[in-house]
Amino acid sequence: MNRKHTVTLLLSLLVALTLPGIAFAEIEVGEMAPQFTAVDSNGNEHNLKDFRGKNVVLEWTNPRCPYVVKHYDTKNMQSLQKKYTDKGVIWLTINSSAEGKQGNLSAEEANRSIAESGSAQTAYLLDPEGKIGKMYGARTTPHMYVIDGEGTLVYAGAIDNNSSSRHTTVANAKNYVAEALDAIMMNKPVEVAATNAYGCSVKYKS
Amino acid sequence: MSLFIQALLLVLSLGLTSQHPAIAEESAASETVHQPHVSARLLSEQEVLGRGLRETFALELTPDPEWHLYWRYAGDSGAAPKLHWEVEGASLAADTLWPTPERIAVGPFVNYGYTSQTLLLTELPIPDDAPGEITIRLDAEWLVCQEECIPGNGEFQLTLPVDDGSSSQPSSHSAKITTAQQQLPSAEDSLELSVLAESEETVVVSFPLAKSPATQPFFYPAHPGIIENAAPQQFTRSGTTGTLTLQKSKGLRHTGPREGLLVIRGESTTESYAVTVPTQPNEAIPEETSSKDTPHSLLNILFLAFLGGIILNLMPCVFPVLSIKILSFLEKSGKQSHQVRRHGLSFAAGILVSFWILALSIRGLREAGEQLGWGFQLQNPAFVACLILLLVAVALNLFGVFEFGSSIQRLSGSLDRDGESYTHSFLSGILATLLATPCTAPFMGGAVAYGIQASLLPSLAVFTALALGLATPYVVLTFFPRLLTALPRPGVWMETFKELMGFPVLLTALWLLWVYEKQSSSQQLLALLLALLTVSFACWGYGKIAPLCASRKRQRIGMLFFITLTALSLWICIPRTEKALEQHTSSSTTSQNHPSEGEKDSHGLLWLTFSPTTVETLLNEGRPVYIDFTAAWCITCQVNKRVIFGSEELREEFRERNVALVRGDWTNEDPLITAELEKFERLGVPLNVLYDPKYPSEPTVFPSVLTPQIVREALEKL
Repeated sequence: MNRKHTVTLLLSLLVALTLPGIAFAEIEVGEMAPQFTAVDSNGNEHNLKDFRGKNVVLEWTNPRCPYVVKHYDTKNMQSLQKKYTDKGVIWLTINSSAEGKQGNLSAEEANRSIAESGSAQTAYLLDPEGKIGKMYGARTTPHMYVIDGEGTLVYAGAIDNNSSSRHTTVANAKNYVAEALDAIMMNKPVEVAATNAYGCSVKYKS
Repeated sequence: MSLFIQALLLVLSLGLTSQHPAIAEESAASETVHQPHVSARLLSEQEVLGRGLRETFALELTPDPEWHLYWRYAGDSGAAPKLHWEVEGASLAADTLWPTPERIAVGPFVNYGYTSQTLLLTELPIPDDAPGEITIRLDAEWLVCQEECIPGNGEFQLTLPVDDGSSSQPSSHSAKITTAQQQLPSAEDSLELSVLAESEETVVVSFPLAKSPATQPFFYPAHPGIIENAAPQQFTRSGTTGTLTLQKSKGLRHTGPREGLLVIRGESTTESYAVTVPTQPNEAIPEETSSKDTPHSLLNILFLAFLGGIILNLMPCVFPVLSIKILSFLEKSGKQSHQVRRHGLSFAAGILVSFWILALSIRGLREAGEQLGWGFQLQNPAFVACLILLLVAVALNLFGVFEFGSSIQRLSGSLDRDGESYTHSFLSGILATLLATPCTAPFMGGAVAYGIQASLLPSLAVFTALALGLATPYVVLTFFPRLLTALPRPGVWMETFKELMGFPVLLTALWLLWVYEKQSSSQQLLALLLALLTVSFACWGYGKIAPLCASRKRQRIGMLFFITLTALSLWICIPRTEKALEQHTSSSTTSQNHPSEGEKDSHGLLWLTFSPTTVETLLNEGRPVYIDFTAAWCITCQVNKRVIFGSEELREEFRERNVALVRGDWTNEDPLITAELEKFERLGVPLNVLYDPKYPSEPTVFPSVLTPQIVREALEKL
């Protein structure tokens, strides 16, 4: 009895040694996507865990970044959101712009932006502290991640293969996110699973 | 273009008359395109193009001050300029010759690009059948950024006469273009880059380096997925060889050749070489050889670790446990020596196993991408709180407030029932390790740093050496009990000694309380103190109840009482500490926004908050920089502070030489500081560094334990 107690105490202290801290991490495709909870523009809380069993897209955004503008002015992003949320995909748009930095939106501003652009994401998450962004190592806007129903990260990187800021380049670009989603929906491996995300830097707090 | 100019150009091309600069300017340069924060034009190196020759053209980009454009690989964000060429209406793919870029830090990212006027050069083939005059068109797009980014584009056109190419007709821009050509990176193979060592996370490259560079050399990857752009590149130079330790990319992996540039900046010159990081070092080189190339050989490190382990025994947090264990068998020294020995070995095993667990968990976490260094456990207030609770319980136990049937100091009593007591020896080994963590001996830093960064086997070897060092004195004494004959005979004094030993334990607890207060808030501290009271009450209560309970069953009631109260005390202080950590982290990130912000210490000295940019700015201003990497939980750091800055004479010295004081506070986790420590091969504090602005790449690294003499000597060399 005594011994057991001592063992428990010592073990729990050793476990305490391993409590993680906060750092800018770069996660790898094939690993489990890190868990997070966040509040959306309507004040609802979302936990990545709640979406187990569904395919999830994470889209880093900054409404004033020209590369994000490219995909919204051409309605490319909205039609992707519409197409895949109709098929049951959870689409989370995440804004990690810190307060006072370019692209930072309040909840109302975010809702106005959604209405004006006709976006069709599942939720627009506000991450002004950059916690989720740093957890995923999101560097640019747009930076895209696809997570499968088992919670595994299956795609990370650019939205497509044309890093130009010209709006005309969107139509003929190869869309990596659509390809990844189509593949996992047909239980096929994702062909291009990691690319270099292009665009503006995420305007983090630090 | 007017007929007049055409006619004049024809005359020029025949070389009959000297050039007229104004006209040359008109013909060999396109109109300037002005876009937000950047202006651009197309230049030709030649006034007249030669049929069948490759002629050089340049897109001249001039960003506004503080705005930048990008290199072929933009780095963590941004986009390289895109150029589409047309010669006589036919589009052609032409390689851009990219000038040497700069590293541009933007928030937590690093970009590669240009902050001043830049010429992107291209050689275009002039067709063999070109008519007397041809048109070169360039359609270019670019991204110009400060922190925010603005895309821009322009269409440029040049119409130039063509001849047979027998004579050169340099334009007024030719000098500018020639200079740009000369500054291009030297071709591949002009400098040999070799790989000294490579692991999953890092690759160490070496290259010839004749003289000391003005700033540290950098490797610029030409593709994404080769290195972590924002990670520091640790530079060392020995003799005529320079080495860089590069952090390999963690997310995306580049599969092709690892191409890039090696850029060495001197006082006024910049050497830039196209290089490829070889995929593997020579397979034939066994690991021992390659580890000798690293600054410390493994054997040396193992010895240091062993020594450090022995010294840990004398630290106030470990000494009481150890000394009492020794006394416990002093009492029994007359008894069977093989039993005593077995206890020694069980104790050593406990230490070994817990060090291995520690080593593997640090390793696992680092592999999971955490930026951790030695002492990271103490950056977690929850852990500190648990440790304080444990220390107070140990102290009460030493004071005799309560006794566990199995507690460490009762080992002597249980020696006869040996089966169980070996387990206790094992457990006290674990306890010793746990108590040792806050008291890292000064020179163990290097060994532990190596242990964490090395590959698995050497890493385990280092931690094993450390553990063996910690276990050695006790094990040696169990094998040679005669060494103890100098001590007085066992008696009442031992009980007094045991109680006395409670005080160094309490001292450790007090110190950790101070650390805890820095990490959280005074409210948190109050919660913890309440928890301590509860634990003390639990211990006292248990001490009262247990002896009264004859039967095992009733003893359990006492145990239950104890456990419930301990759990209650943990509940009081733990749940809130997580929040405290978060608050603290966020406040420390805010402070990074204002690198110039500083605070005055009790001696009226201004301390700036550490960031690499702050240091660079100060050095650029020509000021020497003294950096103190410290943490509240690092005792050596506190002692150093007293020793150096308690001396009025030295403070005067610092003021007179206009030394900027910078403090990197690592009390809570800070990846920026962890990265900087790694640059100096340290995974822990203290670390004190003095930068001389004249030799910014060769800072003076002070030993962990400072004396005024050492610091004064270094200051005098400035």
